[in-house]
Amino acid sequence: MPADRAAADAKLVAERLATLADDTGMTTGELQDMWLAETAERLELAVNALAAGDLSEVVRLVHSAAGTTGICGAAELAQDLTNLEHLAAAGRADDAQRALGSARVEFGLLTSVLHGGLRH
Amino acid sequence: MKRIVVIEDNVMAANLYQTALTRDGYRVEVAPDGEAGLAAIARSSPDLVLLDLMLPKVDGFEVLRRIRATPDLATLPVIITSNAYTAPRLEELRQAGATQIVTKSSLSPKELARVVRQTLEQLEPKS
Repeated sequence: MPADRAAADAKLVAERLATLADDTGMTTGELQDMWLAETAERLELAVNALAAGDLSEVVRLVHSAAGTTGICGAAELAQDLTNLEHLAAAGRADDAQRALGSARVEFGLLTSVLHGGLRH
Repeated sequence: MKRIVVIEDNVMAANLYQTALTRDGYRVEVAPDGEAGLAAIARSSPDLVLLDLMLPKVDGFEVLRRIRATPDLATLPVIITSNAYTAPRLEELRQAGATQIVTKSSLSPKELARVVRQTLEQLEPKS
């Protein structure tokens, strides 16, 4: 269930952002905002790149989003983005389209969960 | 003060690494693509480079090859910051001259700063 995965990720993200806040002196809210904004932008650009048939750009954008998502602890979403990257790298545009749609739904759910309870 | 060049196109990752390394006492320059990274290395003669692999303009593999093809940079420590699924390419990276390879999602910025410190310490002459 996407909602269950989002809830699991939200717990991991909260833990990881607390560690990152200790490491950097930034607040969890600042870190969360930075990650959500960057990931939202990358996914939106990936939609455009996929529509334009530019799969190599999709790979680059999703790779970047997966990296940051992993750093921020959202393991389920990071894995989905990595799978999407592999589909795009293999030239499987239709499968990548479906995977991107699913990832955006999951990211939206995760964003909602995080906006509901993590702010310090 | 030791100088580090961070070549990373992901703004958040670059910010995190820069902040953690600066807090550890390093002077850090961030480059958002491979071309800018090579220019930063030529300009600032860093003590160590943190290098992402999938970069715009010139990718990380090519950056590493160009570093190692430059006599003055042949021994410059280069730590690759990869994603976990680059594991099949680890040997290729080592052969290309990577000093260390770390997985982004498994290391906090503070832990990465520790790897940087240990790498630099290993290269210092023993007294």
